[in-house]
Amino acid sequence: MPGPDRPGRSGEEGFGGEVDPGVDGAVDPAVDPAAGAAGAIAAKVSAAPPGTRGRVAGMHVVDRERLLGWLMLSPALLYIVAFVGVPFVLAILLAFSNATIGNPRDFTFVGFANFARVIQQPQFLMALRNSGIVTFGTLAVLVVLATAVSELFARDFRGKRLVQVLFMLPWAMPVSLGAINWLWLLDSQFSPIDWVFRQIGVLGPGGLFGPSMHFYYLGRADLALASLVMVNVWRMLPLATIIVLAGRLAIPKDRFEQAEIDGAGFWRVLVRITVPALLPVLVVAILFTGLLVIGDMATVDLLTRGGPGDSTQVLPYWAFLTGIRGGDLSGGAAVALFLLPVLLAISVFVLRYAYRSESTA
Amino acid sequence: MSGPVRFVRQAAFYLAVLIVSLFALVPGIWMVITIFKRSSDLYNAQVNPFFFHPSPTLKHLEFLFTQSPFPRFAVNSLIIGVCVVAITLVVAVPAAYALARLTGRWGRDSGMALFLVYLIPPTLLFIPLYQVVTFLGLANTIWALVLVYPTITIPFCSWLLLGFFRSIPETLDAAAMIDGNSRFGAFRKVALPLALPGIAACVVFAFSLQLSDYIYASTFVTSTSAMTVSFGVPTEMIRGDVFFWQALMGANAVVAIPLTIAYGLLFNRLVMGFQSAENV
Amino acid sequence: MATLQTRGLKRHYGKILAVDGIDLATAEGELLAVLGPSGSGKSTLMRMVAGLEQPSGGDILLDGRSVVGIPARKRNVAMVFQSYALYPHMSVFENIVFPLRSYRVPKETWKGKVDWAAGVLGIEHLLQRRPGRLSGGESQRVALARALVRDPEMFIFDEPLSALDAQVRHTARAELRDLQKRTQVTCLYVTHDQVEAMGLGDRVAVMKDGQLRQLGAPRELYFEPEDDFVASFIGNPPMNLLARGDALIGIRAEHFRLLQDGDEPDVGEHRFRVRLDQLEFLGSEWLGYGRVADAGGEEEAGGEEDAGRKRARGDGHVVVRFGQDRGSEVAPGQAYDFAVPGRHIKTFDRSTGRRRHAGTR
Repeated sequence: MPGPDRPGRSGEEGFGGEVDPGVDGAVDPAVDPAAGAAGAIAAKVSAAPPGTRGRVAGMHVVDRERLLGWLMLSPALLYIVAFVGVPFVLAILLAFSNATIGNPRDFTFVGFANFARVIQQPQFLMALRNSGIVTFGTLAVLVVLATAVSELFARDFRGKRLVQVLFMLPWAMPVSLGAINWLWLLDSQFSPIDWVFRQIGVLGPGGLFGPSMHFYYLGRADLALASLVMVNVWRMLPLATIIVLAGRLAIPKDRFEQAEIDGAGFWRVLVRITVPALLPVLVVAILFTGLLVIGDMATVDLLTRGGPGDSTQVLPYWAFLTGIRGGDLSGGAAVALFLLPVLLAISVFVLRYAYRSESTA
Repeated sequence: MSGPVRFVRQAAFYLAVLIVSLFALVPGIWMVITIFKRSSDLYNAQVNPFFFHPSPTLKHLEFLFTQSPFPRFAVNSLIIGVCVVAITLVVAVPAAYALARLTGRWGRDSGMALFLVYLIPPTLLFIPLYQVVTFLGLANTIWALVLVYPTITIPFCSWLLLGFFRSIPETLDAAAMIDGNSRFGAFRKVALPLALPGIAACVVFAFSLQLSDYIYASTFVTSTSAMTVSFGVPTEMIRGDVFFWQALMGANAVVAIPLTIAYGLLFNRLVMGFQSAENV
Repeated sequence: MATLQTRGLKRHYGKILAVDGIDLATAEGELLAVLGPSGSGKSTLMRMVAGLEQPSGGDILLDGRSVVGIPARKRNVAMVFQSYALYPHMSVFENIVFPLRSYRVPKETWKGKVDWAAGVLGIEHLLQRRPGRLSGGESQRVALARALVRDPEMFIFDEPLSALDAQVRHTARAELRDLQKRTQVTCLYVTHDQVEAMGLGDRVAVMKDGQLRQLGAPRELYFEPEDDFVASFIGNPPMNLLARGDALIGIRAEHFRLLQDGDEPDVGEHRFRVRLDQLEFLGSEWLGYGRVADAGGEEEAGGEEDAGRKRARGDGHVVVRFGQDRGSEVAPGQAYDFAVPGRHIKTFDRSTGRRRHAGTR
């Protein structure tokens, strides 16, 4: 048969070692009628001296792959250990120490004294409470809205491309700059939102919430907290929507078609089919966005500075104020550490749930 | 479905689309308009804030680019961003491939575990990291941030890329190896090109995640010349109680608009990336 | 040219033994079909031969040299995957060139080789297309061209026809046979479809549960199965197996000769009485489904109430083949006598499944 010239095996090293004839398992003629040919080869093979199996560069192929794997993984591992792991341990030590800004190396072990001291500050309790409220509030609203908007994006409509671009604005805007933006939008004097409300009769003389001309979004404790939730929802919604949408699009189309044939309307489909299928994805969305919200300090710093008074303190901000502005490094670390066990417990719980639902998916 | 019912449904749908668009747009529109507003117009609570009375001006943009420290901040953020993205890619791409193909089952399933890194908040880490940075002599320079920002970007990008690599069928790697490549050759010639959409998503995400950071930026850098956009703009462009709103919004727009467009164009890719990652 | 030989080849995953001591050898230039149901270990065997997995024990020899530990790229084996594994980001031309590139074949020869391979498979017009734009049949040819262009020592085919439509499959099978005969390259062809294996293989290796049950030419497997699994797996309909004490006797459907009224079995034939339950008209023949009664007229399986029970092996259900005209002479619900020549009755040991030769039934 005419064929291409044999491709020269240029650049190929010879087969490593000698052949190993010492393998058990005689050739069984009943099973292997070609034993004749094999026999000749077997004779040739057993004439070779015993040796190792063919090896490449002294190492078994499987080991090479594993080595390669670790080589490719190690920069990431080393970096994280060095810049997250080690500082983490140091921060824990810090929380148990006596360090202040003036004396940052003072590592005398003081046991739980810092934690005790920090807990007793009223701002701390307030911060703890507020972190919970803001995070929980944000996540609750996000889950609902993200599911709703993902329903929208799961369908085709005119102008979808444009809407996709516009929709990303809140997430694309850096946190601090977005906070500044909202600072004006929620301003007690000049808020454009209030202006709109005044026009449509919600505010002002004779208005629904009147006769006041302004909502003091950032000036009243309850409204300020609500404002924080709203701003967080605003900036996280695009990300949350993408996460949920990814899950929504993965639901096989025939499930919806089956439901339609079975007579289900929009709401029933949503509640009975979409949401249950989305549960693992919602877990991802909650974890992701939750971690980002809990750790956020910029929004609070720029919108309310924890105020009015201390009514919108949240844990990361309070840790920052205590540690850096207040000079109490160990106290700041103690405050920051507070969240950790809670977060860990929640994450483990959530991860377990996610893995279990994956195995049944 | 009868005509009127259909029409109502469609109308309701497009109303929802409108609301979603406005949701993002209202602050955005206001941001852009404000850039060109005269202060007399701005500080006037009576008039419609979405229009110009009197006519718009470029004065504030001029101020932003010629007299404020903003250009400095922008350049800093850009340099830091490029470096951090480069570092992230060089570290996270191979790591993700290794987890997907070379470390067995625990590697493939490690996706969620990568998140555990984010449990350790910057508000906890910044103190010891500050000490590390000072020790290395990098305090108050942009390189402090270049060093530290990958802690934010690497775990996420590894997670996203892990999903991407897992979605590439293993037979493609196998075929490449049978066709005469080593494992690394298969990675380079087949897996990597096919993961480009994921890498593009990572670039955008990594850039915007590091840009958004506020806490490291505020702690490690105190002199104006080394500040980033995220911290510098709110700090240096607000003097006590006086906000240079128009310039602030200018800065905001310069950063937010390109990022918005980038994210918007990658929208579908991002969804795909999350799909791969979520299918774990 | 390559002969493949395996000796005592084993592979386990943790506690699971996927391949349990396989000894086989190919003759030069032959197409060896590896046939088995899913879970039989055939895919694992194939991957070990290709170098994609390493054995846990035993040896693999290509061309007389042990290749255990040698990576895939050094074995000069070409493979066609079930999914074809075409590189989606490259054109057809680049796909075919890829192995030449990887093996550092001189660049000047590339075009010639690709044109030759494309010519053999009739895909010259597709060279600039992307894999996404190819039909199933076209994709398969590209995969074949890519394997062919290397002039390898051995081809491995992993269920290459299973992704094709039924009509295309017939022609593809013929073309594959033709290709292999022309190139005279040793082929390992893995499949679960016994029709394919029998049609294409010079010899067939039947696997089940990680073991090689029988290796032989198709005729051998069909007429002289060494194993009850082989007997029931090969042929359509499978060989009828009936329990007789500690043995199973096997009779092919076409070896039942209908006895007309008054006819007696010839010397060397045995009588079987079958009550027919159903008749199927297949155009060229009839198939009769029924149950065997022993010589005394007792039916082996219990009677009408057993009709719904799941069939057990050897429980008396048989399939009988009738010629085109014969089928009209019988009716369901009746019992008929058949004569079966003794030489067509094969005996198997019920516990081991192995064939018993000579000796009495």
